[in-house]
This record gives sequence, structure tokens and C-alpha cells, in this order.
Amino acid sequence: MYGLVNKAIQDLVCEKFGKDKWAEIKKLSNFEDDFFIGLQPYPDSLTYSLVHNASKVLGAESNIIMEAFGEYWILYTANEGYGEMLNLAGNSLPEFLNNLDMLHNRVNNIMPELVAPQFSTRNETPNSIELEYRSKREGMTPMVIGLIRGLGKRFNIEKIQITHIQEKNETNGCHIFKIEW
Amino acid sequence: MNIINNDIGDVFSFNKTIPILNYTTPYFLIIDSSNSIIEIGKNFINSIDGIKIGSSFEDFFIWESQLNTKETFKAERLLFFTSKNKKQRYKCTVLKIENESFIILANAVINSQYNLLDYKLSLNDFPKHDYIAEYVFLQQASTKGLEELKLFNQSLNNTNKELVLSKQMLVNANAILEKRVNERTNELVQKQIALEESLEKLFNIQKEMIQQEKMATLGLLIAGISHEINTPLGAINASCQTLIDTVKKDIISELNDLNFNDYKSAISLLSIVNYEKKYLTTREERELLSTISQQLNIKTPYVNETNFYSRKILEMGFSEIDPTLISFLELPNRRKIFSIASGFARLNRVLNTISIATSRATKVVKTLNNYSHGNLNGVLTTFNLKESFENTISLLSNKIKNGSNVNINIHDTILITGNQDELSQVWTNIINNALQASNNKCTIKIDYFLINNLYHSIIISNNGPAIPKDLLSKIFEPFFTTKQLGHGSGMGLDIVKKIIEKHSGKIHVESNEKATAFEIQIPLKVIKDE
Ligand code: HEM
Repeated sequence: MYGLVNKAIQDLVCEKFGKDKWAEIKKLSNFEDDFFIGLQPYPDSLTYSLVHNASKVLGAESNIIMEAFGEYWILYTANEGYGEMLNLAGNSLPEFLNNLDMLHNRVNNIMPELVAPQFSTRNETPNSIELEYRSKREGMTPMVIGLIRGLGKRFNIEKIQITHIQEKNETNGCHIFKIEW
Repeated sequence: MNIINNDIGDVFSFNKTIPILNYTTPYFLIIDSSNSIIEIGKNFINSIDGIKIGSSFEDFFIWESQLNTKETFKAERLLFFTSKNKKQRYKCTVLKIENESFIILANAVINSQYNLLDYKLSLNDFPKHDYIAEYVFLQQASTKGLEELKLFNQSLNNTNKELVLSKQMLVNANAILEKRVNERTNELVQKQIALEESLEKLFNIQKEMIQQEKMATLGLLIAGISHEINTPLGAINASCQTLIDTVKKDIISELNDLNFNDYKSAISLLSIVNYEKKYLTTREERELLSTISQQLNIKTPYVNETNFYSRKILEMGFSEIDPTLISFLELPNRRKIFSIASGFARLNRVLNTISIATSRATKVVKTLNNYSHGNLNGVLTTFNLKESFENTISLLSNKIKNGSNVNINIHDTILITGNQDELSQVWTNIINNALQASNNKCTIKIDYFLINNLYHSIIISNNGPAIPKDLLSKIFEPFFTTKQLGHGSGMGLDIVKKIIEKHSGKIHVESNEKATAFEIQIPLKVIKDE
């Protein structure tokens, strides 16, 4: 994954738990550089390792960390030069969810080696929507929940409920989340 | 209105195309021949305050080519213009349309200097297919990338600075270390030198101590010996005197037995006896005896017992028949007279030998005593230096007259204070050595200088053979001698040195092929030890 993701993890940990904790996590993950370069791809294993060790060091389950990270990602990307891109993705939660692929396509213009997830929506009502999530990676669903929660906050939705209504398997090929507000 | 230039021809009617233009190129302007704006794209309306149909282009914009609109439009090309408030910048192409009018197809220039906010628009105000959004994103990504690069650079710089600093520190530490090592090495070398010096000093002190110890033992030994020798010497001296007295009496009584004429003859024979008879080997004696008896046979055939008379005559110190002896041989009582005279001569010689030997022994004992007692003893007198040398020379005149000469360059008035006997011994020793070394054939010079009104400097030099370099430092050592065993006690120059030192003086020797010189320095004021 691109360094931007790792940078965001770093920022989240430093912001919430301090630099020392981050140094510990970094060390456990055998990462020796001072920085991540946002526009450089790093092996996925590093990102997984960072999350795994963060859970160890911070004493929280990986799921919780992934979810927190998803929520943080919305704020983080807005500040890291992708604010305009987020703005263009939509003015409401449904519009935005519909434009997630477009968003990642745009990201792809800047990050040619991006392995982006794919999203589509269905069963849209004024108070709910279902989001299909397809990914080449495993174990990112908690992050998707966090991301949606973050988007809810972005659009000032006070109460949002996210239910993982379908686990991905070989026949269906995607996770489905039902989002209600 | 139709576009008339290029390949576009006059296909489009602008009234119909304005909405399309607004969608595809929201930044457009149409200007008529009098330079006033006749159509405005929606993005200009939304972002340039006060712009309206009928305004002039130059009221709101400036061409970057600094030409007026007409001139600028002469050729179709890429052009840039900015808003008068300098906040917005545009790029455009200009197309000529009917009625001498132009259409300006523009787009906002977005870069770090002109960002989206300056245009009071959002990306939503651009057509979705417009690349401006991607451009903006790339721009922002690259800005972030640059920020990262800056951070990276800073961190590199810091690391570099740290490296440079630690290198400098290393270099400094190295220099300090090197300096310390050098200092330490120097210190060690200095210490080693000091150590060697003190070792040498210690060695010398040890030598000196051994020497002193030796001298102390020697002193005790000498004291003992001199006592042991002095006693018998005294006895010998005393007995010698008694012996002389007794023998004198005997001789006188024997003389008294003679008649007057014989008495007179005996006395006159005694007067010609040569007491200084040389010591002869048996062979020499035998040869002389036969010579004398032959002469007796010829000159005094009337004398019998030639063997008896030859022996007597030899004992009397003659080696031939002296004419004076003839008259005595003619005397009737000659046997008795010759017996007495030769007996007297023999006796005298023996006594003389004893006396010389004892006085020499006494002298040696005295010298040894002086030697072992390092202080200035005897009387301190002030005497004339030149005279003192002259006395020494006259004592040695026997040797000197055999082919040497002595020049004394000392002023008549120079007085020196010291033990005159001892100092005379010094002069004698040095001059005697010179004579011996040169086989009595050399020129000896005695010079005098007064140093700082504090010291007499007496230089005794000779042109005899040089003292070999390796011996030069040893000549003042006790028992040093170049003479064959038995020919010198080796006490000469050591005694000299002791005597000079007792006078708080110094002696120093230099020698080369041309000359050998002893310089003796004696203070004007000699303080006697208590
Ligand atoms: C401008 C905002 C965004 C940017 C720049 C961005 C960029 C990225 C990047 C760089 C990755 C890592 C993939 C790789 O490096 O190969 C990623 C993954 C992901 N993104 Fe986004 N993203 C953005 C917004 C969102 C939003 C709003 C969602 C909401 C659902 C989302 C969902 C995900 C998910 C679920 C993944 C996990 C990758 C996977 O499942 O394979 N992203 N994104």
C-alpha cells in the first residue's frame, strides 16, 4: 500500500498516544527509516505489521484499531492534499458512496500502482443504503466500517448504524454493509 | 455569428453555441472590432467582479505580451493574461470570427502561486471531463510530496550535520589524542634523559663513594703503617747516630795509635776519599780490581799484596790509581793507613745510605699522611711565586741541564698564599713528569694570569709527547702511572690534585701533539680548614 496509508497510521498513533508508542511500534515492525514517503508503494505486509504491533503496544484489538483508522482516514486525507478530491466526490453520503470508485480512480491517476477497492450501492432509500465492497485484500472490513462512520461525521449525520450484512465468500465475491441513519 | 478562420469555417452560429461554450469552456470572451466585450463565459462572470457586456477587455485584464488586444490577435497562438488585481491568470487561444470580432477561449492557470480559491470557484465549476481537477490533485499531491522532500532533506541535513559534527569531533579528538601522545612521548623522553642523567650521577656518586671509602681505608692503613714505620725509622735514625759516634770514636782511637807523621798522612788520605762510590756489579768490581792491581804492579812495583791494596783503593771510591794515591803507597805504615781510610770510607757510605734511605722513608710516610688527610695542613704562608718556581728549577737542574730549558713568565711581584712546601711539590711533580716523558729534552713554559682578581692561573706547559686521549682523564686517578712497574708509585698527579684541591683550587690538563699544558687555579684567598 502507498506510504500515505502508513503515514496516516503513524499520525493517528502519534496524535492519540504519543511519539514514544509510535517508536516502539515502528521498532517492533522492523521499520528503520525516519519517514514514509506518501507517494511510494510499500509492501502490504508492512501495513499489516504496523496494525498488528499497534494493537500489541496499545493494548487494543486490531479490529478496533482498523476501525479507528478508517474514521481517521477521512480527516487525514482531507488535510493531506485530497480535500478537493473528497469535495468532488459528493455533497451527501449516498452521492459520496456512489462516487467511491470515481474517487479511487482519481487517486489512481496520482498513484499508478494503487490496488484500489471497488464499491457499488444498492437498495437506496431516503434513510438507508447498502454498500458492496470488493477487495483484493483480506481483513479490511473493520476499516470500511470506520470509513463510513467518518463519512457520516463529514456529512453531519448524527446517528448512523452500520451492519455487516454479508460476508464475502467465493460465490458472492463481496462484503455488503447496510447503512442506516 | 460564425467562426471564419482556420478549418472551423462558418459552420457554427454563436447564438446556439454559447451554452455549449459555457459547458465546455466556461472561461470564454467574445470581443468585437471596437474592443468591447460582447459575450462572457460563466466562470468569468462568477470570478471577475464588475465584468459585464460592453466592458473593455483592458479594463479587467492585462496581456502578458504587453501588446494591445488588436496586435495580440494578429496570429493564432498560445497567450497568457492576468486579471488587473493580479490574482488570476489565464491561458488562451484567440479565434477570429465574423465582423472583425474575436473569441478568446481561456482556462484558469492553477499552480502554487494561483490556487483555486483565487478564482472564487470550486472544481465543480469546471466541466467534469476537464483535466483541471486532475491537474489540481496532481498539483496538491506534488506540493505534499515536496513538503515530504523538504522534511526528508531536513532530516538528511541534520544527519549530515551530525555526521560532520561527529567527524569534526573525531578529528578534534584525534588531534587532541595525537597531541597528548606527543606530549607523553616527549615527557617520557625527557624523563628517560633525566633518568639517564641521574643514573650517571648516581654512578659517579657511587664511584666517588667507593673512592672515598677506599681513601678512608687507605687513610687508616697509612696511619697504621706510618706509625709502624716511623717507630723503626726513629730507632734507625737514633742507632745510626750512635753508630756514627761509636765508629768515630773507634777510628779516632785507631788514628791515635799512629805516630804523628802517619796520623797526618791518614788524615790527608781521608780527605781525598771519594765517598760517593757507585754501586758496582760483581763483574764490574772484578774488572776494576784487576785494572787497579795491574796499575799497582806497574806504578808501585815495590808494593806487595796488590790484591789487598786494590780492594782498599776500590773501597775508597777510586776506579784507578790516582797520582795522589802513589805518595800514600810509598809510606812504610801504608797497610794500616789504607785499612783505616777504606774502613772509614765504607762506613761513611753505609751510614750515608742509611741516612738517605731513612729520610726518604720519612718523606714517603709524610707524603702518604698528607695524602690521606684531605685538609690543608702545615703553615699557610704568602710567598713569591716566581722564586718558588726558581727554587724548584734549581732542585731539578741536574735533569734540566741535560737538554731542556725552562722559561718562567711570572712577574717578580706575584705573591701567592698556600702551603709552600706542598705547592713546591706540585711544581716539582709536574715539571718532573714533563722531563721524564720527554727524556729530559723539552721546553717547559710557566705562564701566569690573574683571573677576575679572584684566582691565580698558573699554566705549566711543555712541548713533549702528547698524553694519549684515553689516558687524559685518568692521569689524576690514584695509582695511575705510565712508568714501568717499580719506577713510580703512581702517586704523582693524584697528590698534585689533592694538594690543589686542599687549596680550594682546580687543576686541568690539555694535551696534543704540539703541547701539553696543566692549568692550575688557586684562589687568591685560601681558607685554611679547621
Ligand atoms: C481522497 C481520499 C482517499 C484516498 C486518497 C484514498 C487512497 C487510498 C489508498 C492509497 C489506498 C491503499 C491501496 C494501495 O495503496 O494499493 C486505499 C485503500 C482503501 N480505500 Fe481509499 N482513499 C480515499 C478515500 C476512501 C474512502 C472515502 C473510502 C471509503 C470507503 C475508501 C476505502 C478504501 C478501502 C476500504 C481501502 C482498502 C484497500 C483494499 O480493501 O484493498 N477510501 N485508499
